[in-house]
Amino acid sequence: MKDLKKLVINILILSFIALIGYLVYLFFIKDNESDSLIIDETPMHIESIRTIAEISTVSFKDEVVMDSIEFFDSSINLSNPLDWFEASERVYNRNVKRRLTIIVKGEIKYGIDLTSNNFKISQNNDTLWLNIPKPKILDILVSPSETEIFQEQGHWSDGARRQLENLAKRRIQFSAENLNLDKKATENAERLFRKLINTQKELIIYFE
Amino acid sequence: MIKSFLIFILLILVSCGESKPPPNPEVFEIKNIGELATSEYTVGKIVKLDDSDAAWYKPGDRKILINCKAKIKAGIDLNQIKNSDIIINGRTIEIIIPAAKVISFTMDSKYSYTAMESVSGLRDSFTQEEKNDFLRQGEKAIKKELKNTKILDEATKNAEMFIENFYKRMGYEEVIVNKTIPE
Repeated sequence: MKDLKKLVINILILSFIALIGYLVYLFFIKDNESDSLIIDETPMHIESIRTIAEISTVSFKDEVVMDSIEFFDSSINLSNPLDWFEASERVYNRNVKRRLTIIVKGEIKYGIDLTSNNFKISQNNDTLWLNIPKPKILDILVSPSETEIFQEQGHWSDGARRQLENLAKRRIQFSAENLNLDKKATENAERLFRKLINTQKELIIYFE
Repeated sequence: MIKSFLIFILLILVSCGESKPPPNPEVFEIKNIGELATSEYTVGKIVKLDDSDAAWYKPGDRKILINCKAKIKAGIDLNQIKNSDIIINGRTIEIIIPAAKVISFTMDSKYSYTAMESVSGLRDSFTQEEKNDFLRQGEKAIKKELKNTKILDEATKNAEMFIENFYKRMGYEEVIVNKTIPE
């Protein structure tokens, strides 16, 4: 009974020392996420300039959540004191070893790309024909300011985050395709060209 | 006694576990637009952070270099052109176009990569949250520096050329494009 009491007291003392050590690490050594690190000023360089002619007629904005989770898979031996830390970690994190959850807000623009002058206009006395390419996805816009790292547990590589972001982009694109936005883009393009052409003749627009 | 103590510790740990459920995304938005993008810039920037001047009690330093790229498109909003902005007089057409603006900005992670990362002493490795924050700062700096480029002038010039070419192909002999002066 006396030994047991001594053991508990020793455990409590060790726990107290560990707690003090942890608090010192937390307040003095650990790089706190709330400490805002400011990047150095570096020049921006222009890599390329391109003349384009893209008419966007539909914008689709969406927000997706991507979650990557990894659980502890092997069993541990509770009678081994070396495994106790991992056991407490498993309990604390609900058996989750690593987790990365990101929220990506993206925008997709549908429209017509006329960059290579790929449109034809022909007319007679009472009809005007305009042949233009079919609308397609012109841009999938994502940026760090529209991306939030919601939860990061464990160490994650850049590649893993990039993979999640690519999946998010694909999911936004999939949602857009399910909404038949190319049809809406065609209707809007037709309305826009009718306004710009402003003719007394009959206007026939072909999308090819 | 020991058993009860261990169970007590475990119960405390369980009650403190932070497991946030993934958030529900917002509802999407569809908008009818009419933007003519006429100039595309691809720009690069090195995002640099050297944390060696951190507090004296933090042993070691952290350094990172991230290479990032952004693609910016500028042009005019065709929806802003009113019917009264297009005047047809025989074989001559006169059109007033709105001022050019930045139409899209994208900084895809596909083109951003960590070129160098160095952590020494007792310092923590860079987290993805921190890296995203550095990229956000880089994005903000690029957007600020864009004002010093000629992207809007080029977008206006290219829009004028496109409109002139478009109407000439429709058979107009003279196309007069008037620009709206930016505010």
